[in-house]
Parts: sequence; C-alpha cells; structure tokens
Amino acid sequence: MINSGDTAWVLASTALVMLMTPALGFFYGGLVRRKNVLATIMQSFFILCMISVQWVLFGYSLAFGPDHGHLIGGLDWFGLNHVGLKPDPDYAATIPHQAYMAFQMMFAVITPAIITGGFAERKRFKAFVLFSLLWSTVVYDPIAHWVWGAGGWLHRLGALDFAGGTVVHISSGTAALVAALVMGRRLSVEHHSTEPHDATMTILGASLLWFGWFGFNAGSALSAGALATSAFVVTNTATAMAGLTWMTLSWVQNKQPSVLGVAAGAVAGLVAITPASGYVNPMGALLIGAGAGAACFGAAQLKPFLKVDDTLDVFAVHGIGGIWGALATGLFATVSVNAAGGNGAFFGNPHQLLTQAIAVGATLLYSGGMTLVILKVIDVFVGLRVHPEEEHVGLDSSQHGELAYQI
Amino acid sequence: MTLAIIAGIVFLAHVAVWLGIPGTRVTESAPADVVMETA
Repeated sequence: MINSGDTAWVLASTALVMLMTPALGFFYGGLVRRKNVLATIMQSFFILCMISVQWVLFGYSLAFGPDHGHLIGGLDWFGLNHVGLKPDPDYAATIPHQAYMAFQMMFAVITPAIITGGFAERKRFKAFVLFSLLWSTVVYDPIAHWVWGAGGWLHRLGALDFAGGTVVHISSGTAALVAALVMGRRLSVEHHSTEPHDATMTILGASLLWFGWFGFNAGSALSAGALATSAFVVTNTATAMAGLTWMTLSWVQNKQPSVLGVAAGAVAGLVAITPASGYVNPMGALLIGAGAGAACFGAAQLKPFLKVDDTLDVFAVHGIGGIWGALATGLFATVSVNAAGGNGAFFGNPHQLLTQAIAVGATLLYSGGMTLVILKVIDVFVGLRVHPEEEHVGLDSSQHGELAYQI
Repeated sequence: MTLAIIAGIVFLAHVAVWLGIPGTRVTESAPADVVMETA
C-alpha cells in the first residue's frame, strides 16, 4: 500500500540525486583549464539528458526487470511496460513503481558522468556520446542487476551495497582508469600548467554533491523513517571526517592546508560511505571517512609515478574510495542498524568481508574488461581523441564552438 | 563503545596534528587590488 511519507521522501531524494550530476559538472569544471570548462560541464549535462531517455526505454528493464540467469533483467519492461503506479513489492512496497524507477534513473545518470573526469580535456564528443550510451547499457545496467536486481547473483550471494559503492563508484572509477590508459596522456601535461582554472567552482560543485548525496544514501532507504535517518547521519559524519583527513595530510605534506584537498576529501568520504550507509553506525562511519581520506589521498599521490593521466583522479577517489567503502561495509556492518543487512567482521561475522571482496573483484574485472572492449570498438569506428590542434585550442571551441568566458 | 573510543582517538589525532604543524610565513604578498583613495 502506498505510503505518502515514503513516496514524498523518495521523490525528493530523486531530485537531490538529479542535482548531483550538474554538481559533478561544476566539480570537474573548476578543475580543468579554462578552455575546456564548457565541454566538461556539457558531458555531465548531456548524460543527464541521454540516460534519462535510455533508462525509460530499456535501461531500467535491463537493470531491474524480471531476472534472466541472475545476470540481467531482459527487455520485459521495455518502454516502462508493466512499470506503473502501483508498488512493486520486490523493490519498494510502499511507493509507486515509477517513483522507484525514477530514483534509480538518477543513479544510472551520474555513474557514466563520473567517468568523464578520467578522460577530461581530450575526448571527441561523438566518441563520448557512443561510449556513454554503450557503457551504461552493457556495464552499468548488468552490474546494477547483479547487486540490486531481484535474482541478481551478487544480491543472492549476500553482498551488501546500500547505495552503490560497487554499482556506481568502483565501476566508474575503474572505467575512468582504463579510459585514461587507453586514450593516453594529454599532450601538454608535461610542459604546461594544468592547474584548476576555478577552484571556487569546484568547491561549489563539492558542496552541491554533499547536499545531493543525502538523497543518494538516505533516499536508498526507500522509506521516510529510522533507516533513512541513520543513513543521513552516517553520510554527513563520514564525509566530514574524510574532508578533515585529506586536508590534514595535505597540510603535513605541503605545510599549508589545501582548500581543494578538503573538498576532494569530502567527496572521497561520500564515495566510501555510499555502500555502507544503510548498515553502519556513526562511529563506524567516522572511521570509514578517516580511512577514505587517507587512502584516496595516498592514491592521488601515486599518479605522477604511475604515469597515468587520469585527469581528475577519478580512480583515486571513486575507485579506491569505493573499494575501501565496500570492504569497510564488511567490517562495520551491524544488524542493530539494519536488520535486513548483516553483521561485519567487527560484529562477529568475518565471512561478510569475503563476500564484499567477491563483489569488489567482480565489479573491477567486468567494468575494466568491458570498458576496454567498448573503447577499442569506438576507436576503430569513430576515433577517441580529438586532433592535436583541437586539443591545443580547447574542447569548448573545437567541439562546441562556444567559450565559457567572454573576457 | 570500542568503535566510539577509536573514533575519538582518530579525531584527537587530527586536532593534535593541526595544532602541531608550524605555521608558514609568506614573505611575498599577493598583488594588491587597485584602490581609489579619496582625500
């Protein structure tokens, strides 16, 4: 039976998560050079439009439709056939089915948008369009089915992922790393400054991401009550602690606390708490946040040594943050927070850690492998990178014929 | 309670680091904005 409080909260959360995609555009936009800011923001905004359509046509069916082989949902719900306004008890018994579909749509939107940070400043727009559509269909939709779909094999295994540590962050972080490796380094990165052109835009983006993430995590309770409250509190706690940790490490390293560092740390905390948000208590969340700040900061420092031009540290934040968060769920989960979850190692069940590791490994391998295939195919037919002259003048001009700042 | 104690120690460690890092002295000042001074 439909509960109006639950429905109101899920619809509000849907709007909050929707805001996260343009927020990501701002977060990334401030970090790139001025000549590429519009193209960077465009990638996020375009994905919001494209995946909104893909989802209602066939993406939702593939991810959440009636199970086929525990691997995929199939096309039984193509065009939202059978997805009406009565609740679907497999997913959310107290809200209209279309409310659940819309909420999940915003997760499907932001996941490919996250990847754009890995190949920022050098991808052809046509290649990006194809990549995003193919990746969402053959990578995101299946993984979402494995973890959240009725009958999905990771769901049956008992993997805990409340709001998308594996489905969203490990998958997109891995894809960004593979894309950065396949596409190669930006042309001028060794010889010219690639400093952020507008740190204030990045801080604005991070702030809006933090705000929207309350919908991402607390909305995943699919009800307006105790579990949503718990998820809300742990989200804020982990994020705050992660921001403090990254800032502290940057302060020790550089003798001055980094403004961009506290923002990046906060995002790392948001990522890490995502899978755990419905299963851990605030103290567990604090430790998850501290771990995310440290692990993601450390990973970001490795980039110059690994010679991978993951432009905006997507793997360091989303990949490593997602891996830590998924494994930490296996440490700190407790049924005292969510009886439908499980206990982690600290609460007497070390086996949960192994289950989480299986989910992490499966996501890493599948996302990495399929991303490689998709990129290679697109490179053959369309070409991945812009021409060197186009990269030099900037993507805003070469891909869109528009400039951000008419100064 | 154990997690709370560990969490509290972690937080205090951060505070200790903030208080313990020596400050930096920036001797070169940023360019000042041009200010129109009125008599």
